[in-house]
Amino acid sequence: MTGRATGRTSLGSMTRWLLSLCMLPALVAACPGTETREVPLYDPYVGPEVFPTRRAKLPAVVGDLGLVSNTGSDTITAIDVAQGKVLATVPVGKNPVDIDGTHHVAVDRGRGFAYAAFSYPPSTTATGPHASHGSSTRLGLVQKLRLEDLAVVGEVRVDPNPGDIVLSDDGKRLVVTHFDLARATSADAGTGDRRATIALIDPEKILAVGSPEPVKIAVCPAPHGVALSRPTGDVAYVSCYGADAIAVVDLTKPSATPTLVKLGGAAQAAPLPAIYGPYSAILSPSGAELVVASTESKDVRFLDVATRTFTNRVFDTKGAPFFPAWAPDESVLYVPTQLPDGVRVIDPKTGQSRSERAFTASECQRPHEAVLGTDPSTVWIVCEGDRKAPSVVLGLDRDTLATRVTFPVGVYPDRLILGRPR
Amino acid sequence: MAALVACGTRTEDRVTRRTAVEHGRAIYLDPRASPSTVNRFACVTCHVAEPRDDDGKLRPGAPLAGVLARPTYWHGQEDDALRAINACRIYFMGAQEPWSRGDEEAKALYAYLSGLPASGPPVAVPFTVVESAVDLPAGDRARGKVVFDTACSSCHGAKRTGEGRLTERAPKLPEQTLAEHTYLSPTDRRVVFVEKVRHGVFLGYSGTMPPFSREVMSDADLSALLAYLDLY
Repeated sequence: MTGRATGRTSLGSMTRWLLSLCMLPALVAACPGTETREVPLYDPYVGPEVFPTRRAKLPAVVGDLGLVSNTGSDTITAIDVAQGKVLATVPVGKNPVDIDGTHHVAVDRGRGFAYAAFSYPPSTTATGPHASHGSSTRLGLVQKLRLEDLAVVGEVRVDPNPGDIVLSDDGKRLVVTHFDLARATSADAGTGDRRATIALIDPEKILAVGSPEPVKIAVCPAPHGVALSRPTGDVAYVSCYGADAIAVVDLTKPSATPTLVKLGGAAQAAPLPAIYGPYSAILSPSGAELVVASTESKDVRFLDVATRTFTNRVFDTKGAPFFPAWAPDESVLYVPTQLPDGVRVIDPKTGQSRSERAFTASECQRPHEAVLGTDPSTVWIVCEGDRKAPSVVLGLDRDTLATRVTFPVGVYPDRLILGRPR
Repeated sequence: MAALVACGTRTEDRVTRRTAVEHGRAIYLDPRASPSTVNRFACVTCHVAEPRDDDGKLRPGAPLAGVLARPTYWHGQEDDALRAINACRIYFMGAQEPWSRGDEEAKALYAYLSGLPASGPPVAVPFTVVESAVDLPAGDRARGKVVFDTACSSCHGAKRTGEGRLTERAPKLPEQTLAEHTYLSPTDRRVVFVEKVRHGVFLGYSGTMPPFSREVMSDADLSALLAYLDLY
């Protein structure tokens, strides 16, 4: 290995060098013997663009563009929903060996960007005496991806264990929750504060290098799902898994204390496990109600947005509900459940079951999310699978729940986001 | 610029113009590809670029000739050569920030790499990460010495003494590593060596060591290394 200079020659150093040359004759005359040291002055590179991007651009998509975050394979799958085609599955993340944990993705089709959150897992799939050290305390990451090829164009660090990432309708607020169960279960040594934060990010300030620190708002223990008011996302509704509450957060006043609305009267005896375990929060199309799906009490309930109180409607979902989807006219909710694995279509006013379908392990293991796009006849179901092998996204007939299309995706998919046509 | 150390031993700097390609090769050879003051790794520590660089050492990284034409790197986890290079700089060389395409060092390195003759078809170099670090049977000690001399000694120095090691951050083998893991059983302490070779800085370990894939170092060679290090 050699230690040659790498050629950072500036105008100032050149000037000093020339001045020293002027002094050289006198100095040389005074001293016998000379050792010469070569100082390279490198020509600047002239030529084509360096390291040109070789990743193919995604084909033009006329209808909905689907992006699926694959937690277990550190990839994102792009889907042309209307054409029923997987366009590409591309690597994302930062660490070339560890699982970064691609955990949910948001999209701004108008501006041409997607935003992926990375939640480094608490233990890796590796084994060895050091394999489970401290991963759960590793900072999370948000990467900004250029939509035309999903190449990384910027990134910003967030707190450990990102849970959900959502973008306001106007594309100006990006919000990330931190589902920090470790913090929720072990009180912080200094303050006893079990609350984790949500990160408030200006998407335009996510840079390749030197992104500013996001605004952090301490919200509640183990915040997971989040919905933003429309269209500007001034208010965030956060499902606080570790507090059995919904936090209402005024994002225009980050220093203000969030309002916690408890799900029910039952009081937790200990920080966790939660009694209700609110996991997701989805705003209705009109913005009047928030459906809250709770994986511990296995039910859905509804927050009246205007009064910030829960209605008395609580509907048993049999299995643990994850991310439901509202019909555009709010006449039904599509609720994916785990244990048992299936999807239920319920009337959000009465709780009456309109239809339901149980999945076998070969059809859809661990349904995680229901999604509706512009296709009026299909509901999309994201299936986690066994979290070791590639899984699928199913397209079901909204009326019969029969499978119409199956998209192969990566390992442990957990979010399908649809970029609507521009 | 003309540095006068003392009268009688005078050093004169001579500025010589060099090309961007030569700049790139200098970067390849120089630990200052990372601004970290404690880094001692250069690209050449882990990769061979040209036949003249091949000193018979077993390097964990793939040859660099033809690297820019490969479709993916890092077992398919990167498909952008600059990001793959930045991964080396950040995880092994202690750089805090990645190079961008506008950085002169990145441009020069590209100029150098793009001029290297391809040594084969543009295919990804297999790089199988061995995630499960498990105990291995004792291998051939004589073979283990060869493995140690070619794969380990350039960074860790001589067995036991560490003489000639690249940096004091590289532990003397095996004693220093054993001493750091006295809380483990003898078997688990041996597995630590397997884990470090296979995982390097990744998968829950720390430090700056690159991982050796199964293609670079077979399990048989790793078993031999463990025997040579007197770990049974």
